[in-house]
Amino acid sequence: MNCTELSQCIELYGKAIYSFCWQLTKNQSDADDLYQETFLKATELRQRIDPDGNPKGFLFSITLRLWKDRRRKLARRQRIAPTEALSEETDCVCTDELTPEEIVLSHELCEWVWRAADNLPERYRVPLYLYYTADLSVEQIASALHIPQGTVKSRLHHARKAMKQDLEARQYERA
Amino acid sequence: MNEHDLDRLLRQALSPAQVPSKALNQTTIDRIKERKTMSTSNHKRFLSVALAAALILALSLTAFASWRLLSARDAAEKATGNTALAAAFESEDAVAINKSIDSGDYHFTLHGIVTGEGLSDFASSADYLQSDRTYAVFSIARQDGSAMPSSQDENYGDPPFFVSPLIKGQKPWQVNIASMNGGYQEIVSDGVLYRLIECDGIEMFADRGLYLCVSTSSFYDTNAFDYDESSGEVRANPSYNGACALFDLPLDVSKADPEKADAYLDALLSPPEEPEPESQSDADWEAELANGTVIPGSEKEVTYDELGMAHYSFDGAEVAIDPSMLFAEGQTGPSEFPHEFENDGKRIAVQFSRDENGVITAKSILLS
Repeated sequence: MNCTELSQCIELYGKAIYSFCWQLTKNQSDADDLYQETFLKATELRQRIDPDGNPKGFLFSITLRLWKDRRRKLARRQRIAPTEALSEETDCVCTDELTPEEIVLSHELCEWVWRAADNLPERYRVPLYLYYTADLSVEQIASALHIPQGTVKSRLHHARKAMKQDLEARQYERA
Repeated sequence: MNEHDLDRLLRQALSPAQVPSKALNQTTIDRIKERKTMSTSNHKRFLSVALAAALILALSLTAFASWRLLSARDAAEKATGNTALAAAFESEDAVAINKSIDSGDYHFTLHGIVTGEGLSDFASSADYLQSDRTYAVFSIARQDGSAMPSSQDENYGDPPFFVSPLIKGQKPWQVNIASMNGGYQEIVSDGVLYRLIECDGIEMFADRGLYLCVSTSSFYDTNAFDYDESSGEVRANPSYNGACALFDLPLDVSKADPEKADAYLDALLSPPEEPEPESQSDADWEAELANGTVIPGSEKEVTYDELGMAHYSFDGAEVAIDPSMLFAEGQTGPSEFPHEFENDGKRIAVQFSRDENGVITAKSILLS
């Protein structure tokens, strides 16, 4: 893959990768850094990226690797400002055509989902983000994480089950 | 809440609300084309290279038309737009070198070198070690006079060039521009590629002997240079299947600082600091690994394909991965990220390890 094709990857996959960076880092500055580092690392590895293969999965695997390298620093920042992800800056998009009460509920639900997702073990959380945030197929997630498709399905199942239990518990508490 | 509602809620709540700004995308594209920070991966590479018939590498001082070339100052200014840095190449502290070596299809010229503080705001690492930085202007031209590809060209960056200072007595695959917080910027002017490299200050090593190497590779290539462990000397390999050259860096010996140099190398070559406590999930995962059982006969050295991907397979478990995705710079011991498989209800983790010689092995661990 040459530099031009890599630049085209930014147009094709930039939004999905950036969203994934956001979910992992929970703040714009780190998401920007992680996003840019992903493509610069891909530039170094571009000879190994097959444009006809699964470049999207390869790019996400780079993002993951870089994020894991930086995880401890990021985790420290998140402990300092754990609610940043819930600020107005991170408003979710599920608020169209809702009444004010429903918007409040929607925000609350979104917060619950974020918190529930953040509480998941990493092995379940990452496939969840790749599936719902980055919109990767099971096959692409398997490629990015270097695990079989069956394992991806299993982890997504566990993640959804845990999310459901968490959300239902919150709804019960709220009621 | 049924599965459909849950799926809809997750898709809505977790779907992208943030997009990269146009400025971020443009900056990223510009950096892809114009400026590539050096890889943090400076480990000795073990690519299985099918060596074709050895090419004779003609290393010779040359009478290349030097009038074609920009001065170090002009090249630095064009590459960076930083007039202060450019002017430094004409200061008293600068060393004008202007020596050339031909190798393969290329004519390499080392223009000059300077060390100073605060000349640029670039630092490629958060673990940036010191304030003084060394900068060198280097140019690459084709011997046949054809133009080097510019950043607008399709074949820009092909072949890649690795340009780095080396220190006599230090293993060059360990101590080079990548490990010394280095980076570069480059431009093509009148068909000549000018690269301004920078890294942590190397004047402190002036009494040891310094080189500047160049090879047609992305990283330090052990095939391009021979390192004599007993003498500490580095030599360009005339049988290298590409272009390579080695320049002496005649720095002022009076600027050497052995104490500072030793401290720097200690910091550079020492094992990474103890990690902070892992999160609960990571600790669980590590405990699972520790309590797992290594499957007898599963431990073996990985193999490499022509792209340098490491391959491991055992009893249905197959992994093919870029080694730089497994190990950080200088990292030895087990990889941080085992690969997990499920087979007939059994959970198996494939754990990679790298020894101090760079040999990567993998084993399968049956998880309880």
